[in-house]
Amino acid sequence: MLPSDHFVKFYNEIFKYLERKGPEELDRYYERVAERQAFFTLDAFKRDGFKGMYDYWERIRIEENCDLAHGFDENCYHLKMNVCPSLSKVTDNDAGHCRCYCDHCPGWVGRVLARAGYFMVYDIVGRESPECGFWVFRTHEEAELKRRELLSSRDENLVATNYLKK
Amino acid sequence: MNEKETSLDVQDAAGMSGLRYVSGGALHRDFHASILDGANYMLDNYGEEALREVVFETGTKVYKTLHEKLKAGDKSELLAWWRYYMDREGADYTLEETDDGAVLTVKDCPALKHLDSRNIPGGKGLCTLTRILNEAFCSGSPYEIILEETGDGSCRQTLRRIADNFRMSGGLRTSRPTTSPYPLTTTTSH
Repeated sequence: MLPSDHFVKFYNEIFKYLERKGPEELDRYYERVAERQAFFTLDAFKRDGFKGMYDYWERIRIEENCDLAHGFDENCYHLKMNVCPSLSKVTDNDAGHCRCYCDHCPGWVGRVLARAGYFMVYDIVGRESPECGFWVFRTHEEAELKRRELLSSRDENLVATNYLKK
Repeated sequence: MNEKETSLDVQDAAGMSGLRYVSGGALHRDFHASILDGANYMLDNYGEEALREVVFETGTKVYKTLHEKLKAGDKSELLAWWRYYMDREGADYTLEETDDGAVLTVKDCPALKHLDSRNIPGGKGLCTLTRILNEAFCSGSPYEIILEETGDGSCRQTLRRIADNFRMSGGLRTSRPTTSPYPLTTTTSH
């Protein structure tokens, strides 16, 4: 049995394989992951909105031992990952980590949120350090304001959205 | 919190067991579904050899120290890995050392139990994945692991020396059983 603790190391090997096949293959896999994750999240996101998002990531905070802060108000859900356990495990790894590892998160989260009718802006921060954050808005305009704000201090490939084509 | 806390502190466990990786805190058991789905995705889209490649990279490079020890005839890290993660996942199991290896008897597999609790079908694919992972661990070593499914989420995994068949080279073995364990059962509804 591959331990559930080590899923992310297996995931990392899948990403390496797909990266060799080309970026479109990674994107296709994120689509599949989103489809699967929708099983666990989409109904709650649609039904309960930001509260549904908060409840989901609160469970993840506990079960995945995340050092994160999150919350929401009428206009926005925001999550700040202080120490990502997933990237931490993947970098503590004799097989080395896939450079694009972080992309899977906005890859699936953005798709599920889009299906629920929300606009996401994701700040990857860096691909070596286990921290990141994202914002979820009801409107395109609010999301775009946040994206532009982030781009004043971030490289373009570190800011992802679920409403702009790459 | 985790339903079954490990009795050892993470650092103690690493130091005492010689394991390369140990984890503390809670478990996110839905990752068993993610492992199954990742394996099925590879199989469905790229075929059996692609899945084997990814699992072999995991078994020989992620678990490099465990693999290298087996190649050197040292089973200690594999046994520690079995013991540590079976305990951590709350498995009902026994592990007995034998003269030429060990027998891991899993009475109630925690991964299959979790998939059942989530009504996720196709759990047997994880048994196939375990077979390939075991094959990767043992590649190029004087050992093999035989996994027998014994029904109702139980299995017996027997580690034994097969010095006569010892292969010096690592990587994918070509002498797979003629009765292939493939395909993994594809999940359709989770």
